[in-house]
Amino acid sequence: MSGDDLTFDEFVIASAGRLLRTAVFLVYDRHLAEDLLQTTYERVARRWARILRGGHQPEAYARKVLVNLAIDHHKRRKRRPDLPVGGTFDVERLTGARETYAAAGTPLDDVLAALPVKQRAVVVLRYWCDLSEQEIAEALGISRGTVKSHTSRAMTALRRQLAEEGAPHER
Amino acid sequence: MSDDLDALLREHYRRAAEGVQPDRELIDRLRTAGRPARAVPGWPRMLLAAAAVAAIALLTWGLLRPEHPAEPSRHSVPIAPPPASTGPPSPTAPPPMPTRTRAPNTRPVPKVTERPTLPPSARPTPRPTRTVTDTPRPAPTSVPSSIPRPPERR
Repeated sequence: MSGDDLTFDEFVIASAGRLLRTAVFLVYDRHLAEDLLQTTYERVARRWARILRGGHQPEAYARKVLVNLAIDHHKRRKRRPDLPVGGTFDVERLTGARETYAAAGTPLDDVLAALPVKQRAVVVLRYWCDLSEQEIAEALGISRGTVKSHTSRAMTALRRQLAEEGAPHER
Repeated sequence: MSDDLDALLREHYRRAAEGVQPDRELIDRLRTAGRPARAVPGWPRMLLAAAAVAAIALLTWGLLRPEHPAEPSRHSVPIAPPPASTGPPSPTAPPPMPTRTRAPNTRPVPKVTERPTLPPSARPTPRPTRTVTDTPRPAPTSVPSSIPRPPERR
């Protein structure tokens, strides 16, 4: 997904599916994921020439923006849960018409959704995006040791929750 | 156990991803999302805004500035003469007298050097001296007015 001849439209078409799934796994809400993804592409577009000139991977940059947007959004929500931010997601959430992705509702999803946002981000980047610890650290702007500790805590919580629910395997 | 959980998570995400597909509408929305930002780069807008702010600041400064330096010189000129003009009568004449004697004694050297360097603002200072010199004159004029009276006695 690199190259000077790559246009922004081509990049969107090629990466939208993967990034949308990443966003959904991060926030567990389709509409919010789309909103975050739109903001992500706006930011990528603003720096498009610089990204290509610097030889960076546009999708890696977009993923980094997306993950940090999701974390920031979660922090904002946590600080002021009663404040609607705006957009279709908030209206539907307030009216109870919340839509999640098709596979939601499994015990594993409940456990993943209950994880702290940074632990969930580490799990998504590691097991969905197949990133190394170093790449996760760069994406989140944290140290490799912190990535390890987040991963360890997330896995411990997952194991405990799945053991308590008695459904370690959802297959 | 860890390997089991790793495999479980990978399989979970792989299967969940099948249900998350971007539709045509979303793709169009995402493609158009970047267009305004790319069409007009950020720096010209910022430069334009900075230039506008600078122009407004310069304009306001230019409009306000001329009044301040002009005021002190105008005020200094009219303030000095009124006492002198009201002075000529006999009751106000005595106060200027000591100032007259002091001014020439204390200021001789600095005033000579200041006057040529400051043509417009230095001129007001000589005026009081002229008016002050005029102030003693009324007194002598009052005396001659009394002088003609003796001829009437003739």
